[in-house]
Amino acid sequence: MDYDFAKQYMNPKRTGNVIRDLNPMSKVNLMLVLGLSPFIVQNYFYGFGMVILFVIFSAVAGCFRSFFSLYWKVLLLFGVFLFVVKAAFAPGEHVLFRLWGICVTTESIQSGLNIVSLVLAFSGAFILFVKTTPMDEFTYALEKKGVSHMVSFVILSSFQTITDLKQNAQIIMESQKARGIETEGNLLKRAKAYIPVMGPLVLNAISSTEEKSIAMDARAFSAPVAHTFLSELPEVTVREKVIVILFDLAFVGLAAGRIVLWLI
Amino acid sequence: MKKFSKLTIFLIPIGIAVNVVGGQLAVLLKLPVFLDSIGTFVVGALCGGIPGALVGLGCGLINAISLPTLLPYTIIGVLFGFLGSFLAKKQMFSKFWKAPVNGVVVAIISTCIAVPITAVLYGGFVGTGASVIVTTLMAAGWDVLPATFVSELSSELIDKIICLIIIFFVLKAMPARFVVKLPNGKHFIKEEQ
Repeated sequence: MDYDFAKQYMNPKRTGNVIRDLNPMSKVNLMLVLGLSPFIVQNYFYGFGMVILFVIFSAVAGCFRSFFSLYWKVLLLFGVFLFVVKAAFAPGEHVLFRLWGICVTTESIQSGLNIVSLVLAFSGAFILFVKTTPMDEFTYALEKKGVSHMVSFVILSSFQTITDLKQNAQIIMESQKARGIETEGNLLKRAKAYIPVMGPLVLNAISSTEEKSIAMDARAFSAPVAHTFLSELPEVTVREKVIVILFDLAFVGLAAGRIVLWLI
Repeated sequence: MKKFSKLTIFLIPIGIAVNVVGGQLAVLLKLPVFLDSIGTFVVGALCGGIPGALVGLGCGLINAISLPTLLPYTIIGVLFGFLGSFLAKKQMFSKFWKAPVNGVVVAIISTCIAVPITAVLYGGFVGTGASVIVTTLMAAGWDVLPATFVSELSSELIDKIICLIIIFFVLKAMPARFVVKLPNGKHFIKEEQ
């Protein structure tokens, strides 16, 4: 018999990609350090550098498409519009031009670029983390750190329930349409369709929890024993630990430098 | 998390999902409101402040996946959980006329927290329809804070009043045999004489 399939579950889970194979805890750490560092550096060249870095990281991790499909919205909404709003309304001395009470100055453009670089850099770090870390790996790492398995359940189950409820909502909407409720038309008509869909959806979802809790207890969900895992993650290598600690030290150094500069 | 009853733990993911799906449904029906805090209030009212706050936290984090700039507003969701529990204990979900009153109170509280975040962090720009009001007012010579306050309050008032009315109906329709098993159930059950 062919045991290859079974054997793949015996080894720790690896993808062969440098960024994806980082331990989820290291990823959280790096995300916070890289995403928050522009707030300390306070220089928009650095912030936009980080943005480009995250795009490159996403390409290296092989998730450029899914990363960018979310990130472009942030880039457009905040990169363009936030900059325009800031540039138009922030106060400043050196006037570049005036138009209908809007006054664009060099200072306002500076502050616009600053805030945009901060927002974009942090958003990039966050989206990159979400896209490179499957949630089950993240909850596994949390449990290894001693977090209760209830937390894992809540996190993973939330995502599953969202998909389920979305389907349910679709079904309820179809049935209500069959009953004659209109989901198109003017605002009042559309608003009236909301409650007949939402009511059954919420009540159904809430009353199903009882059966769910009995079913989970039948599978020893709350048994007070050590839990086993279907797949495991590799141990954190020394090299990875060193890299994370170096980044942390650099971050602490930056923060200290900023405080010293601020006090002088 | 160990001290919660099993039902409470199973209700937290449901609350998060109801928030997210409720918001998406409002988008689908092209309604000009968010309606994305129904689950937080329902779980807060039925199970108590901390489970409600956890729903708010989870929902904020999940929303942040698609738009990370929403992350600072998670604090409001957390607060809604506690508010839901508080309102339930004060019997504010018992009569229909109390629902709009709750809505106004909640809207004012959430505006007071949202305005500093929006004004300081994003200079009045949030990326929703309310931004149009803000920029118009600012172009007319208003300051950032009052302009943000007016636009936030107007959108929050509509949103939260409708939201709390829906929550009132949901809580009312909840079967008593289920509600009585939940930590805050005693605030919803009337004793038969």
